[in-house]
Amino acid sequence: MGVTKSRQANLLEEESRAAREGASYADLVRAVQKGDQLSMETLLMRAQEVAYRFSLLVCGRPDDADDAMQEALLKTYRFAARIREPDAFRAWLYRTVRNACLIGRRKRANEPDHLVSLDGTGTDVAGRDYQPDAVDPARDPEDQAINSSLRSRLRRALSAVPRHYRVVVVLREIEGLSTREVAEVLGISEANVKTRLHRARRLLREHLDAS
Amino acid sequence: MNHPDAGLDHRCVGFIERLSRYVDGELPAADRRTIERHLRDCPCCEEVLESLRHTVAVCHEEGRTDLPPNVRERSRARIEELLRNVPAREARAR
Repeated sequence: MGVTKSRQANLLEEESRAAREGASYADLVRAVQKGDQLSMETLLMRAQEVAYRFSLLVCGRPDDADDAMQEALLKTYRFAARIREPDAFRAWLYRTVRNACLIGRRKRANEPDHLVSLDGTGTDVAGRDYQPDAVDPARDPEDQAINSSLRSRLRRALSAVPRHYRVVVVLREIEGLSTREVAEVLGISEANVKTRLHRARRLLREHLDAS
Repeated sequence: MNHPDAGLDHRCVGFIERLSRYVDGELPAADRRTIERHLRDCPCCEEVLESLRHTVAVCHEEGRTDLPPNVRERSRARIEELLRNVPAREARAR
């Protein structure tokens, strides 16, 4: 009897975790505002994921990722509980991450723009090895090898696209923001987002085909 | 290496930017029909369209990629540290 109850509890916990993983940013923010600690943890993890991908794919600076992730973590923690419009959270998060990356870039204003290639390896600010495609022992090695090769090609192609196009294709295609959200994050019109997206796709396609 | 754009003539060039809008379903019906007629007769543009769709699919796949295990581990540690220090932070705020 006790075992059955324990299984049921585990199932409920698993369902609840899956629901949080699939929840929108706005739903997570609403849950946080009702005091749900697990939703806060999910939101904090997502904020760091966003900062990590943005640092790598837009800024091409894996060594800036730790700073951007820390900034996203702290600001999300402070802001999630008091934002009045939960639907506006996602655009706020990407603006925050973008600003953190821009600050990192300004700090290195005298350094070359592409000091580290997007698919390169290196050392982060704390001296730890940066591993863009570290092997996950839980997944099929063959699948991981194929995906890793595809990701490397994509990152190389992205690094060859000018930054003002690259940021649009990353936000729209990779991060899945709407045209309106991208316009909000970048402070440009929706028409401008669309124009940049179509040009960015063309450039990216050419670089991908050439690789 | 054969580049998909290599066989395009000047008539095709005008279609390229519209192909991206075509993929997004943003074109008016008349423009869409014009493109579809052109695609039936133009293997080069058909190839460009396939390449464009592939590019979009590769990007979507990248968005579904998990964090590398070492980065995920560090992210979890940061969250635990932050939440462990919450009482002290709140006390300072008061």
